[in-house]
Amino acid sequence: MNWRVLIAGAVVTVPLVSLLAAGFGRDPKLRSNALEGRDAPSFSLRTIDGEPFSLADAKGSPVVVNFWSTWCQPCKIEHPVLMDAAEAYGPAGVHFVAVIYQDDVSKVRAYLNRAGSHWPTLEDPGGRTAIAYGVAGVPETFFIDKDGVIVRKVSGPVSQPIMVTTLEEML
Amino acid sequence: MRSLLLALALCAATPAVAAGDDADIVEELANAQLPDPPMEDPPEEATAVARTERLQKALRCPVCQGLSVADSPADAARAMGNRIEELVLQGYTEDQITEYFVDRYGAWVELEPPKEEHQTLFIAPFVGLSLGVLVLLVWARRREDGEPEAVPSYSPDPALSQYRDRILAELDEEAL
Repeated sequence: MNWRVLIAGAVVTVPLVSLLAAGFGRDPKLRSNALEGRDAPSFSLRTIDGEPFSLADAKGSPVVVNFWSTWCQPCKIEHPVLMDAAEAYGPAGVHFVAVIYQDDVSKVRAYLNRAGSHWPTLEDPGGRTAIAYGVAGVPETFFIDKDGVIVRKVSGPVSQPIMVTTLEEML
Repeated sequence: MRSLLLALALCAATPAVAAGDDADIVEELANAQLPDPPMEDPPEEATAVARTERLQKALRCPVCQGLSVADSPADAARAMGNRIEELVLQGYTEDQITEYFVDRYGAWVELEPPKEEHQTLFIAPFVGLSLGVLVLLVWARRREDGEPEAVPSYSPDPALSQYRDRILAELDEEAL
C-alpha cells in the first residue's frame, strides 16, 4: 500500500468530512439566543381590550412573555400548556403575557373566545416589540425573572416539563 | 423638528396605531427598547432613503432562508424594514441600527458577516489552495529530479527451463 497517497487522501478528506458533519449536524434554523442573560427590552402596549400594559409594572415578579399568532399551529399546541401554567403559577405571582405576532386582532379574539386565556393579550403595532426581542418565528417564549433579566428563551412550543422547571427556578 | 419627522415616519409606517389617536403610546413605542440616543440629526430625505435601502439590503429577513429584508415579501420583513426606516429618520446611524439588530438577533442577521471579525474564514480557502499548489509543485519537482524507478529484472529459474523449452517447442509445432 502506498502510505503517502493514503496520508494525502486523509489530509484532504478528513477536514472536509468533519466540516460537512458539523454543518449537517445542526439545525440551520437554530440561532443563538442573543438576549438570554440580559435585561428584557421594555415595552408598553395595549391589550386587545384597550387596556394599557407595561412590562415595567410587572417588575419584581417573574414574567412569561409569549409571542404567538392564530395562523401558527404549534402556538395552538402550546396553548393548553400555557393555560395550565398560568392557572398553577399565576397565584404564585408569575405574570403571563401574550404578544400577537403578525396577526389580525379579530382572529385572535375569536380564537381566545374558543380556547380561553388567563393572561393579557397585547397588540404589537409595527411588530416593534417582536423585533426588540429578536423574534424570528412563532411561538417564542421569554422567561423574565424578578430582576427583569431574560433567563430563558424557548423557540417553538414550550413543553410542560420545560415550563415547570423554568418557573420553579425563577420563583 | 425631530418629533415632527418622527410623527410623520410613524404615520407612514403604522397607520393602524396612528389612527388610534394614542399619541402617548406611539411616542413610547417609537423610543422604547433603544439603549442609546441617535448619534446624528435626522437626515435629509435623499440620505434617509439611501441609508434605509442599504440597511434593508444588508440585513436578513428573520423568517426567510437567505433573503434580505428588501427582497422578502414576508410580513416580518416588512415590519423590520419599517423599523429600519423609522430609526434612520430619527437620526440613528447605520452602525447603530446594525448593532441594534445584531444585538437582538445575533450576528446571523447580517447577510455578510463583518470581515474584520471573521478574517480566518475569508483567508482559509486561499491559504488551503496555496498549500495545495505548493505540495503539487514540490511533488512534481521531486518526480522530475529523482531517479527513474527501477524495473524489476527478470531472471528465469533454471529449474523450470525444461518446462519452458517444452512449451515453446509445442507452440512451434502448432504454428506449423
